[in-house]
Amino acid sequence: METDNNSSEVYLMEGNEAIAEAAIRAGCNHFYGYPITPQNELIEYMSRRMPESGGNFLQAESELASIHMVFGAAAAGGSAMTSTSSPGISLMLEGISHLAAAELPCVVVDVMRAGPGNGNIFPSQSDYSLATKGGGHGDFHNIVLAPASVQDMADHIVLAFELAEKYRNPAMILSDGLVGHLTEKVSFEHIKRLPKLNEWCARGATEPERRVVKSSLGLESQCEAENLKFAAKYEDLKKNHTQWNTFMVDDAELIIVAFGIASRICRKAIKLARQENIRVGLIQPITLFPFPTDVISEFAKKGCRFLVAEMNLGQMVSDVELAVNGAADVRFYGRSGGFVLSPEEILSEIRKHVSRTS
Amino acid sequence: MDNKVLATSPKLFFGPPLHYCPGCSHGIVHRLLAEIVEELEIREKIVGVSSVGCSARLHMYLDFDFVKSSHGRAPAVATGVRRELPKHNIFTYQGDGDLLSIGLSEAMSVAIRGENILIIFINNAIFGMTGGQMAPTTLVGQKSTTTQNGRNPDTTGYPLRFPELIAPLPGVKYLTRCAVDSPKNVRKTKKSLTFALNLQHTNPGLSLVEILSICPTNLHLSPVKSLDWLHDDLVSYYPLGDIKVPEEEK
Amino acid sequence: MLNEMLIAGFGGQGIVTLGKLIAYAGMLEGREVSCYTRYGAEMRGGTAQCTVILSSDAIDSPVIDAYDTVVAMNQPSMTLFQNKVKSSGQLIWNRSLCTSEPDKTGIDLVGVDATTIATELNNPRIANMVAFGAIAVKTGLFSVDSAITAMKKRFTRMTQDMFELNQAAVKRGYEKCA
Ligand SMILES: Cc1ncc(C[n+]2csc(CCOP(=O)(O)OP(=O)(O)O)c2C)c(N)n1
Ligand code: SF4
Repeated sequence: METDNNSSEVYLMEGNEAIAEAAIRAGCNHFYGYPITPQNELIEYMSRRMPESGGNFLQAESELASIHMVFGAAAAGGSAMTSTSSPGISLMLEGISHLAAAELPCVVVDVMRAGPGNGNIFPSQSDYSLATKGGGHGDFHNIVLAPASVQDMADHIVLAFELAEKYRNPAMILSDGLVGHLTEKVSFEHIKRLPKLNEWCARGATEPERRVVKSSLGLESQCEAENLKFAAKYEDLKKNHTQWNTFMVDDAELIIVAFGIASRICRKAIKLARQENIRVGLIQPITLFPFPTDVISEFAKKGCRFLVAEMNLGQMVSDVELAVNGAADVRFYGRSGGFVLSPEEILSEIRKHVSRTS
Repeated sequence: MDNKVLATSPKLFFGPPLHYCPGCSHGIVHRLLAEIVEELEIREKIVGVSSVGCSARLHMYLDFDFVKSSHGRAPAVATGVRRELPKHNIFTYQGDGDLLSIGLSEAMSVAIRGENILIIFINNAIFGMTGGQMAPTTLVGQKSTTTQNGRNPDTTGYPLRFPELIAPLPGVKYLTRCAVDSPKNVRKTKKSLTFALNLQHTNPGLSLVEILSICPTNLHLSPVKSLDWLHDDLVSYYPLGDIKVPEEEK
Repeated sequence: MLNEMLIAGFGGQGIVTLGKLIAYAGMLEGREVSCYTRYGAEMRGGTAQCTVILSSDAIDSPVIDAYDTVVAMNQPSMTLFQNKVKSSGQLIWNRSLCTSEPDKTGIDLVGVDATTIATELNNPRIANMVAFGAIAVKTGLFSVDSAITAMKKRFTRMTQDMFELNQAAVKRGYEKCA
């Protein structure tokens, strides 16, 4: 590792590097990826550190290949991940669906950029819908986490591996080009190697009963039963692992809902608004799937109004509206195309939606 | 003193300035294409398919029709264009990452089908645009940002000589390897590209012109030193010259 | 304590390196730090912008609208970003690469001949290091010792000669402004 601090184990790193380092420390031993901006630092870091730590690194010939390499590694009992940015995620969807069907744990990192198409390489939150609503063909969901800082990158990748393993389901880190290229302090001290269970993996038939890892789910009744089993997993996940942060919500008349980097930009705007005696707060979903519906619904019932702020054109709005369920007003402010929200911009938006108290 | 025009920019060329780094080979090949299309008078009868990589803006420099493909899929896109426009000249312009990494199956498939298109293959032995990662054509021992101690064939295999690989396929008509490192070789490259385009009318099938190129930025060498690397290292692994030429055209 | 800083210049001027060094020096002094670089679309030289925040508390937004300190390493950045300096903030500008003076009033203007000094040291590319020294004195955010330690930690692959040259550049920048 490049740099460290004398006092304790604190490093100054980019998000893209921190996520790689944390993954290795948590026991990830397979990385496959294909270059794409803005996540190249991640695969370059892996190309150095994975072999050093005794794991496998391979630059795949495409994202289609990366995700299928992950499938193979996971099926054989490896702790596998890949990373890419938006156009690459589109290519991976096929594989992700197969991984979910075969109940293979894995982590996919999306360092989002502006889309659709090749869009551009600037930071965006353009894949919210893709990650939380689609994520591949068929009746399944990805577990989706949204880091907002370099430390989050490290912590969320560990949580992603943990949840992926517990539920045997793909987990996605929905990061973006800003967090990916952000340099901040990060510590890995608390990260422990995660336990790995292998009894369902195809690692050679040492028992009389062989194991077959596959994504075909059988005829109607079998396939439906499998899908119901997946649905039950998501219910359990929702009950036990939905995560969010709140900030200054207790007296708020307006609550901003923002995830990832947008949530930090909104915090700054909220502090500025508070200086003007505006009663505004923040709910920051950390898990985007499962979505923190209940907390939003609670505040809606208390009479709060909502402003959804995103670096896209409103992909999360429908989730907030569902949670609010008609009980409160939901407004939206967003920027697209690679524009990053600014605190001033959010502040003037906040001013539009509140009455002033003195 | 008489003012004599010694050189001008080709009519169909929108550059300079180009956005490429100093010494980059892409600009030379762009200019050749402008000259050829002008000289053959085929502006109305040619469609280019640009790809993803440093040359993704190819279509901004050349004044004729283009379709811009997503990463690696240019041969598939060109197949569609060809089927719609059976009498045109159709070419793709692809880097080594685009053609041989993410796009290998598309590249192989047009070769198998003997699709009547020309692939202009810029081999600079590196991913330029994304910052110097290993390409399938990166030489053994060559340093890149994903092979920081040099490419190790035990884990990444050996650099691919693609024309030699597809030469046996009957649908593949013309394969040659050029370089744009000297005026002589640039002229030779222009001849090969012209020949390949003409062949689309006389002897339809897949043509591929591989052009050995330099990416000084990611080689971390000056343009002049990069050219030395091209003759000394690249050419010794990728020999220049024809690999396959139709009998009747020899 | 909170300082929100922008460093801007051409790609290739070492803007990112400078931003990360400042963050590192800030970290050595026990601060919270964030450094965000907006990368251009390609490898080729374009503009480079780096936002560096040093704070005694956790940092909210790593991107901001107005800055306590702007470091402009060339004319276009000076012209563009002088207006983003907060009132009573600071503009440190590379006089060597500017043909006009800043016209913003009510802020502290610090002209540094960074490229000229670097050229005197036979390497115009280390103008960023001259600026690093100037920033240490003029902002008081970190000491020259922390600056040098930061360089030692981050320039691990540099030859000894090159390191000494960089160090000399920092000291020249420091002395010019002290
Ligand atoms: C699906 C997808 N994956 C990755 C990328 C990122 N990307 C852009 S160009 C490139 C490699 C280009 O290398 P090469 O084809 O050798 O061309 P050069 O830049 O060297 O001219 C990659 C990986 C992308 N645009 N789309
Ligand atoms: S990075 Fe390389 S291939 Fe791209 S423009 Fe620069 S020299 Fe050319």
